[in-house]
Amino acid sequence: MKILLIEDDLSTLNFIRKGLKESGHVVDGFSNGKDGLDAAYLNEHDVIILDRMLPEIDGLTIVTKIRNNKITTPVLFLSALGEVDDRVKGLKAGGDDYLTKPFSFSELIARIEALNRRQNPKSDIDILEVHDLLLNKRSRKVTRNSVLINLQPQEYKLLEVLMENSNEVITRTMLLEKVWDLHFDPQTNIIDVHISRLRKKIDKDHKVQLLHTIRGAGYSIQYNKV
Amino acid sequence: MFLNYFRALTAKTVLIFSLFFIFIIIVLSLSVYEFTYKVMKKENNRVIDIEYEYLVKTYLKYGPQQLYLTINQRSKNQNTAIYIAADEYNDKIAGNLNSWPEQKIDKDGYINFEISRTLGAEIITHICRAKTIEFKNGPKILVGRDVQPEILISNALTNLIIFTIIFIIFSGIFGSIFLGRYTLAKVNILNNAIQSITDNDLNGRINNKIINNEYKQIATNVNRMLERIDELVDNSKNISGNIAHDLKKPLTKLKSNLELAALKYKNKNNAKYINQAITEADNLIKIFNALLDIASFESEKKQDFKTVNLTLIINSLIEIYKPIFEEKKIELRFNIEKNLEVLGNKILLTQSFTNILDNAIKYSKADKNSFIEINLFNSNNIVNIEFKDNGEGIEEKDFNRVFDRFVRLEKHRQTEGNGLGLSMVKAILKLHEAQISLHNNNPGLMVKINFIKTNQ
Repeated sequence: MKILLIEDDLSTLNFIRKGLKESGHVVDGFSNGKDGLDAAYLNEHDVIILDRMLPEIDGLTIVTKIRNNKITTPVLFLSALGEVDDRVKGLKAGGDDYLTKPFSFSELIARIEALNRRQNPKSDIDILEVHDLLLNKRSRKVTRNSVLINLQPQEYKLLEVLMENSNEVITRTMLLEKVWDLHFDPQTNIIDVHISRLRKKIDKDHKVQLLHTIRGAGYSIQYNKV
Repeated sequence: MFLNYFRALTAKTVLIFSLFFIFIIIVLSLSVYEFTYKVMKKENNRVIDIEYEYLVKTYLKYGPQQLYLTINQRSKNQNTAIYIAADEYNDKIAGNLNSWPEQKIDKDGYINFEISRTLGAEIITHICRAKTIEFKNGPKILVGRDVQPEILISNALTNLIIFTIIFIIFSGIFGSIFLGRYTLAKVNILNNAIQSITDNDLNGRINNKIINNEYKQIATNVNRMLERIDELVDNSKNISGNIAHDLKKPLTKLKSNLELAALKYKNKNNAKYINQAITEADNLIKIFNALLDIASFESEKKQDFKTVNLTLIINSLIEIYKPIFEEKKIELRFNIEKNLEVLGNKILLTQSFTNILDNAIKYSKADKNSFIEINLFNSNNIVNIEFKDNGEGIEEKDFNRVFDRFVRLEKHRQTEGNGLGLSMVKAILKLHEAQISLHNNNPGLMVKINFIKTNQ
């Protein structure tokens, strides 16, 4: 993936660049808004990672400008401003996702990969498929090996989010936001409980396990062994 | 309510002084009585005695006929002097008194009696005092005086004393009510102002334009003290906020570098330690974030709040937590009224309810009869939320303390947590002008939240 990274703090810029390169991505990094905007106009990146507060041109302006120029590259805001209002402002200006500093790398990577997939989204597809697990969005029916699985609404929602991002890691934070609309981490391990219930329904009595826990990162639904 | 006024120190002082004045008046009146009434009485008695002796001498020297003559002469000239000479049958022989009066001898040897006088058309009674003697084988005589002025002065003095005492009693009572009311009113203005400022986390000042005199000085000084406290609180808030903010950045970098290292050493044994370090860094960052959040909630004014449906929030929390309750074998009871709305921030409110619920679950007892009860209802335009449990509970003395930052009760030191959860809850609810209180659920805890409802 080719990523445009605009971040004014050089050390942050460097370790994000390093980390993304480690995970096999190509990174163009800029430390001021003007150079960043010029690079964004080239429209050759898959994802833009953008700091909110930048010298010369700030992040919100950059997004507004490139969106006005019909550039649809997904934008992930990166900011120390974590208040709800700040998030809303960023998303309204045309950003696609918002990550508050400090963040974890796995979170950042999971989010930009999810953004990239949005370019050719699975959300338009009615039937999601992982190995012999099928989820029909229209009828809200789930089958494994052609056997109907009876899921509670929340379990269905959880499975849907996981399957829309199959073969990728979904972090706990993303699950909390997307499945339960919780924008903080509760003390109680709700995710573990819900995942284990879902796992019981889809993986129990099957040789091939599809729902995987990725230690220190999150969860993933995939056929291949992790 | 009048009794309240008497409790004021000023009122008591006034009452005590009134009693003191009454005492002084009594002493003073007794002296006046002594110096006027008694002196007058003595003087009258002296005149009676002189007349008496003169008449007795006249009788002894010149005989009865001369006595009668003298008495009749004197009776004509005198108005206040009273004479009568009578025979053994009490029949009048001479004098200006019509008949011999009833005799009652007082301790000084005088007799007192009343006479009727005509003053124009009016008949008035006067008190008289006299001395009598009965000569052997002769007449008996009475020499006396009209002592009405004495009586009048005595009555006037008594009336004056009674009137003065009553006047002082009344003025004392009304004076103390008035003064007590006045001081209480002033002190109450100060008291109420200070109380509301204290309840309002030291926001607001005493309006010292509504009071004058020495109380104004107090108000001004209290205001100055509050300013000073405000400055100090602001300073300390800023300091902890700044520290948290400044440490967050290096911590983030520390964590990012650890993550890079973890990526590099993914499959080596040492990765375990790196991952542990990352978890620790995460916890620290969480604490800093929580501190910054609490500080920002505490200092912020109401943001642009929207109408939030509490029924939906609570119902969805119940939905989310259902599997956890089943897993932990906690019975969930709930009674949720429909469509209760308040003005607020949905994310923050959800977070505070979640924190309370998390605590209830964390401190529930691992036996079969554990339950958690959630009630949402409207009473008198106040939206109430109750979270009840029969878990470990909190001792009453700790009810207020648990909302302070980093406070963890002794018995919970071993459990996970950073002591910021309830501080966060309180800060969020304060931002919403909602009140949270803890109650004993015997056993267990009840957390009660009150919102002033915004819609009907």
